[in-house]
Amino acid sequence: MSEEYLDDEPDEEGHEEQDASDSRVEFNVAIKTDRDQFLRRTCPSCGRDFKTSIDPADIAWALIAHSKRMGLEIGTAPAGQEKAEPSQLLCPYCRHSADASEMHTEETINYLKRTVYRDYMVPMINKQFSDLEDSIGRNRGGGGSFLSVSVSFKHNPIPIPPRPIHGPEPADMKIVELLCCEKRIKIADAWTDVRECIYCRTPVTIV
Amino acid sequence: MAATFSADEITNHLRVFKVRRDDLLHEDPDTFDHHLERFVELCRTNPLVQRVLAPLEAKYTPDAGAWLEVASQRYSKLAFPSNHDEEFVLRYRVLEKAAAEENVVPSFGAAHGQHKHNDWINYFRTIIVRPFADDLSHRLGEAANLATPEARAVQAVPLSRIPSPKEVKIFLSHKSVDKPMVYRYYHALKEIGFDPWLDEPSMAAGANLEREVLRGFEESCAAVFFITENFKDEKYLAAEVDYAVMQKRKKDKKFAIITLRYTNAAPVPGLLTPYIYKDVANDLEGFRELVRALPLELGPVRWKVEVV
Repeated sequence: MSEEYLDDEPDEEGHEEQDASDSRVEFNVAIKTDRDQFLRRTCPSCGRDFKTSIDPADIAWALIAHSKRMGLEIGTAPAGQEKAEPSQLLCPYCRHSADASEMHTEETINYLKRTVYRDYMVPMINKQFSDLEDSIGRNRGGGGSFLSVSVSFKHNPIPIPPRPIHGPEPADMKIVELLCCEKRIKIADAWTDVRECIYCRTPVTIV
Repeated sequence: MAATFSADEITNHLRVFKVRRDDLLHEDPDTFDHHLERFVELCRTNPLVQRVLAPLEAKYTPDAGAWLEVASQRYSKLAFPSNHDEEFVLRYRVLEKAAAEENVVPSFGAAHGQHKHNDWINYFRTIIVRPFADDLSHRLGEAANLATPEARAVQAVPLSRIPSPKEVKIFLSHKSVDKPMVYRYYHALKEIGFDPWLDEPSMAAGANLEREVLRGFEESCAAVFFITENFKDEKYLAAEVDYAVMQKRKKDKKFAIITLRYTNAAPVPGLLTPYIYKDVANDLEGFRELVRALPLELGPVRWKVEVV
């Protein structure tokens, strides 16, 4: 069982680094692959599982996509790939084509959502309410004006939830070596009807 | 002897484990007690989890009650066993206690400055549940790997690399007097899965020789010329040289002209010199050069990568 870390390793306390301007947040995600280094995926069309080698870029794309769905703007592309497009994958069963970042399992998606919630949303909400509390505290009292309104505001910080866990992932399914791309995938043991390479769409047959 | 699980059983056990674990870690604090009971029940009954837990429980018997008594004193320092396995079992026992006794989680949280329901549940999750769940996840991963049968590998071959049976013959061109030697090549090629074409065994009785030779070339991916001291570029052999050059023009990379020139042999015909030709001392050397020069791979019938 192995883990794929994205970005930098966590610091000693396991926290993410955040620079002074608060404009940069680094997520450390530990995605579990199986013993053979394959990441489980789910086709969004037919719902069946297959596995590919893990690609840190498409995990990063997925993280960004889910962050956006949560109303956050936390970047537009994985570092170093600002001009690149998310890679496309073809389902080996139904041949549905989608971005690789859309072919993650529910488990992986939940893991990414929880990571974003824990490492970005909760600290951000706590900080905003804390700033609001400070602001109201500073402005309290009319200072001699005719009409004085007193407002008090008390925010209880949301506790930081436990860090989510991804995996473990069993080393199931059979390996298919795609000779056209020299890549390997895993598909259900009983499935033999792979007609196209899931990466380059070259017509293939299983032998 | 430990039971062996099928791949499906392992996948199912892990799936259920992950659902219960994540419910316990991340669901609404109001449902924490329910998920804790379910998780502990799973640990007791799931065969894969038991494969991890049972041997350690037999080896270590930490007193969770005594540990909790100390840990639930106001601002007490949390001391875990130095042995990693014993700590793992202790955390499990604490979870069992917490599932069985409703005051464990509040007391533990309150002793460490957590005074609200959600806060003490979050504290218990962070200090006790998550480290145990993380450790158990790793251990289950290892246990699952041990029980998984070796992965089988298959290949997905591009269709462009799979030739038709009507284009993979290997035409063996020779002087009749060299037939015994060429037969050795014929049998060796057959033995390793290729489809050699030789006039006598490949032609039906009474067939027109010239037409059959031409058809032989059309169905071939290579023509092999055996240049010995007997070879003369005339009559049938001259026609075969012409046919070979014609096929090469037509099929390009999918057709190879291979000339094997034996010691003291006649000169290689001029039309063949632009193509592969090797001086060979014996049949073994000649056979090696022949196989290397073919546009087909050894093994299942496929074009070599550089051909397509």
